[in-house]
Amino acid sequence: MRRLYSKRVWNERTGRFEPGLIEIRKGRIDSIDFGSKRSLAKTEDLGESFVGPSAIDLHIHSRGFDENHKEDFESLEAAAQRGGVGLMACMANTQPRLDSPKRILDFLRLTKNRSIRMLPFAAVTEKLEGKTPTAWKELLKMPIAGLSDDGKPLWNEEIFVAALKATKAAGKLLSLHEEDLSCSEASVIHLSEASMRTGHKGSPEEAETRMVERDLAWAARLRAPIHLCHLSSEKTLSLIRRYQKKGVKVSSELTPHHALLSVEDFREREPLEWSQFKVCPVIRERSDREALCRAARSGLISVFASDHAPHSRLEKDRPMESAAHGILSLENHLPLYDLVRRRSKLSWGDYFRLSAQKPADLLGLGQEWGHLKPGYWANLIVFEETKPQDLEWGRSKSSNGPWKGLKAQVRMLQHWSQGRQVYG
Amino acid sequence: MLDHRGLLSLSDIPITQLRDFFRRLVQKRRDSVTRASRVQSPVGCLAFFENSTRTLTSFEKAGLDLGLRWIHFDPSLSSLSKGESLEESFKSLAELDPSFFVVRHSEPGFAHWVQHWTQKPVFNAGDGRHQHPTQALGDAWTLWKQDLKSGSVAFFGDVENSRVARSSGFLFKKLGYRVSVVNDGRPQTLLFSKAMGFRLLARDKLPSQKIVFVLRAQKERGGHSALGPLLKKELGRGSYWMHAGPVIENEDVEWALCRFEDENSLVRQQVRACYEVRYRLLADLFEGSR
Repeated sequence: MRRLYSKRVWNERTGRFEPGLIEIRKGRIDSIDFGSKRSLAKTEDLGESFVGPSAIDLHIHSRGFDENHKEDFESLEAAAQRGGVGLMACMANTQPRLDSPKRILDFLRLTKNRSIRMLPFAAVTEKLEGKTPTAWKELLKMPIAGLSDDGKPLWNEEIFVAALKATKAAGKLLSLHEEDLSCSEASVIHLSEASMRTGHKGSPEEAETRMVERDLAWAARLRAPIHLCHLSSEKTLSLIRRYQKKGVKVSSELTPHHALLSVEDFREREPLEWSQFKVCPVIRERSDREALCRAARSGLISVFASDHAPHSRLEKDRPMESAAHGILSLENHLPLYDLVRRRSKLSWGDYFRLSAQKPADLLGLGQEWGHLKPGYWANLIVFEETKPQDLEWGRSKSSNGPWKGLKAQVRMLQHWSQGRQVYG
Repeated sequence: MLDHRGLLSLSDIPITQLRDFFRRLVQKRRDSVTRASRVQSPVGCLAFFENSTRTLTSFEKAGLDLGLRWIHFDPSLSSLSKGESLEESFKSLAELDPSFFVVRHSEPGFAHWVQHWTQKPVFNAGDGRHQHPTQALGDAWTLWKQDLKSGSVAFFGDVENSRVARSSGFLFKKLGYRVSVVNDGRPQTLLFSKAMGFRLLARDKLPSQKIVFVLRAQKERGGHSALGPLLKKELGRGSYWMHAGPVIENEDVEWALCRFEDENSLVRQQVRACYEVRYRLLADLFEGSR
């Protein structure tokens, strides 16, 4: 039995931080006594630190396997410990790809018994090439988050429709990277004044909206839930709104980079920093960023998902066009999304809904994960507000990211995962 | 004009330095530069990843006239084809201790990275669609020499894919010219003019322009010209046309314009002016006139 006391424990019922005594037994929350005035004997007194549920991130590029130089499962685990992420759904674009039951078993073997839970997505198509379906029937019976070819769009409509039906029947996620390559090929930043000034190939909003529109229409026709990765454009939000009104179950993700950065930030940087902004989908206008944040507040966007994508220095420290896509964020998950919360004027209730509750529901784990309630796994973060300070890095093996200049305003003090303190 | 990094871009150079540079170009035309007194045979490294006629040879000629020696780095014969990274290649070249680099590559920002990797002065001889600073200086110098120190300049052609339009246009605007882009009706052209702060000009207004700067369709970057060739009748009386070369007859400008180039064309003068600019910049590098 462990007891934690704080004057600021998140109370889901009232939507406030309140004094509370948390009892943890066998990895789960045994009870929370809100209204406790002081800590009892044999209780860790956390003072005025904030206590809330840890995050569940549905979009992580784990690396490992043949890319241990970018990130291995140890460094990934360490980054999540500091970032306050208790469960990660990891994309299938590892090297080699997670495109067979054997590869999924390899992943599960390597990530078993870690302090942070890691769930794999299985690839929709072999080698993520969009041509040959993987063994869905077998894969969907395994402990996976769902199917995804993230990194590549499912351009083959026939395969997309079949995958949508299969995941619907299995009750798993079909996580979609929405990109029409015919208008975004070789692009590195939003088609904008900034792309024109710097001479880079720009990606128009249509690169995202065309695929989203195709897929939403199918989701409506088949009455199947659909999950859209890393939204980047305001126009996509209008489409989602339209289909949600028709009753289509659409869930979607907000990354920290699409919520905090825009082409205006890119334009101010030196050429040596350009490649750090390269990500897919591209960073767009301030108006897109603001619309995405509003959509997170209104509930139109369902979850925070980081799209954490480690890359080696050789792949990222080079001219933008030949640099790799992707931005690192996992070990600063809490400080970055706290900045999103502040800028978007999200309440803490919104924050925990987006970071923990909705992701747990989407994974079908909402009865055990994502809440700070008796009976749930004791997955919690303890943090404090600080004066603005530089983001701390160093747990991931990589260091790619355009985060220079952003200041953290919260600091992680402790991270508990399934009843065990894993950070602090 | 130059800093310790060489000449990577024009965007941060103050107007006072630009004017001073042109003043010195005027002065230096009068006093002959003797090679022995200027430099002690330093070695420059020419690394061109894209084809070039004028830029490569004029840098080379300017250097030879100053008594420089050159290393030619040929990417197609290098270990890049074996998979060596660009960073490693340039760091290896830097170990041979050339005094500076002149680089051209298809990627924006490439010259900045070479400077970062080698810690040597680098002259940007074109980085993708981004910049071509010495061409821009040469183009502006062409106009100064013709005593065309103000007036209107219209860019005609594939502006979206042109580094010349970006850097020469930027410099012209900075020097006080009224810069515009001929409207070809494409949204990209509108976005380009907005991004660069250039006016959008209807094609039938071309005769009102003092200078028409014709751009080649940058086919190697997927570009094309939606305007067709510039016709002689579109030039106003006493107007000039410029082109950074190579000029493709009947694709960029109609045949008749090439035949009448003495009258309206500044193309040959541009080649000469670019040579003079490059000569001056290389001399400055070793004279400490940074």
